[in-house]
Amino acid sequence: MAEWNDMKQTIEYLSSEIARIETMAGTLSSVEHEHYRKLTGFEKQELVDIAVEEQSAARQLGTIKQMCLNMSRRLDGMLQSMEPGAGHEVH
Amino acid sequence: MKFIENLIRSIANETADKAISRMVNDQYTENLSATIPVGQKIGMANLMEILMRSAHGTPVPRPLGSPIHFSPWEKLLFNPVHLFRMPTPEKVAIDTSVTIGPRARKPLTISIPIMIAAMSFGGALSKNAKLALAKAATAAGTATNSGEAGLLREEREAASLFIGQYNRGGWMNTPDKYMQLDAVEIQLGQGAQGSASQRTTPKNIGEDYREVYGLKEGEPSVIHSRLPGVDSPEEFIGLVGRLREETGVPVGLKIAATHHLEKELQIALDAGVDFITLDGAEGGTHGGAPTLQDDVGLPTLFAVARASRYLARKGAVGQVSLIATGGLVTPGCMLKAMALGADAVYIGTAAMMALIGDQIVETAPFEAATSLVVYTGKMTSELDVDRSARNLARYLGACVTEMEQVAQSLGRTALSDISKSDLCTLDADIARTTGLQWGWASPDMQDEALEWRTFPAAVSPERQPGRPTRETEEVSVSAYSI
Repeated sequence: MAEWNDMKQTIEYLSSEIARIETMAGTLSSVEHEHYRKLTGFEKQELVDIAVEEQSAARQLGTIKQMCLNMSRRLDGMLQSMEPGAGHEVH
Repeated sequence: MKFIENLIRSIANETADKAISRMVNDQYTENLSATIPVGQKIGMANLMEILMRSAHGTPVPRPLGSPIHFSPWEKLLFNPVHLFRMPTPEKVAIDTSVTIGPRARKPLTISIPIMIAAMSFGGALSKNAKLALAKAATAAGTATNSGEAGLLREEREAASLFIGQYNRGGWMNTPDKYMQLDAVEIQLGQGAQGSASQRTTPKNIGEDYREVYGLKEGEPSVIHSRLPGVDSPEEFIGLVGRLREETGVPVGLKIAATHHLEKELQIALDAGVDFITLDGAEGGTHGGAPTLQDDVGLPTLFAVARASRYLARKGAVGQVSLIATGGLVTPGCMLKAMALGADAVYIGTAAMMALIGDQIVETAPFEAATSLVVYTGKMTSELDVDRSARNLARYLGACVTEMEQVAQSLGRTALSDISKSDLCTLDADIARTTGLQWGWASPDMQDEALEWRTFPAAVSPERQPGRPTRETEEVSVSAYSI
């Protein structure tokens, strides 16, 4: 039973941290997106190349957000199946 | 210098005068200019291929797929919004990520909906080209594909997301290889080749090729028409189940689009695949017989529309990812394929052109640009891998930005939210068969307008008094130009 509770708490911890990562990724993605917008205002090719990298970073942060959402859903499913009455209790 | 220029001009002038005089004075049957009407009659590409077949006596290995423009993408247009639904504010980022195989234990999430298509090391491309593709895909946050090959270690290391083909040659079909993949694509066919067999002769197989494919010296590489071990639908179903269980990654099926599409899809659904890749008749290849390219398959546009409808009918949308490929050369085509129901797209030819980019000057004017990237090319060592990867990453970024601009104009916040309702078509037959609205008539006039376009009276005057319903129509407007 103690092991079961440990596992449940670990999953709750992972779920909460993933939610934080999701929020941070979303914020950073917006920042990178804004950088891309500003950098494309310059004529210099080097800056435009950096802008393209910023844009790719913004998209990849957006992907991290999406991955976090997918993982949260799976963890929530695991937590629900661990609730009393879900049929997996350890007696 | 001036003297040399004048001399060249004088020689050119003299030569042109003589050529024109002969063309004017010679009998047409003996005249070089006879090639002009002949070329017009049978087409320049067909003329060249007739000559090549007569010279070699073997099918002509035409590169990059059919030149025929099968899918009428230009007949589809997106519907911008202004007031009825507001455009997306420019500060709002458009979500471009896609999850392939959401049901798999380890789904594959990519940052952009464009992936690099299956182009094999050796069978098609040089190691440098494959590395550049993998590096570009990694930079853009997307996946690249092995093609029908063995596992090229350097490619696997350079690609953060790597889809491998469980192939008809058998070179990726052992656990030591497919367990290293991020998704497994069971390859049973491709747009440019159907499900025909292919063979690479030993003279085109170098040591590095033999090593990756596990071939002996002097042994050809053979892609069979059937996947070894799969001689029935039941065996395919068993294979999918085993690979899903063993790997946990998305397991998909790739086929050449065909009019038997729905029957093939049902077997794939019965097998429990995580994704389906449809390669339309426009699909490219390193070199394939023109007949397989021009006369076999189903165009990408219709294949995607039909597959998407079938998956919806079977309740598989959101469970089984649909990947479209074949002739998608502009961001507009790619996004239209997604709006018709594809979750993501693969690009091959466009990716190769973008990858070569400004290095095309290295080959021009005496060599084809492809000689920089194909395995048997004369100039493969000249390809700058990092520069190529940068070119392709820039191209992918630009394509997705153009897609985002469309999404903004449609009032959407994610590329995956764009759907058929964001499109209209200028072609009445496409409207009828795909369920898109016909742009010639307002939404409330669709049924009436599409019925009016059938002209049943032209074939059966006795039916004139009662307009036919859409179910009873027999002849469409395509048979009668207005």
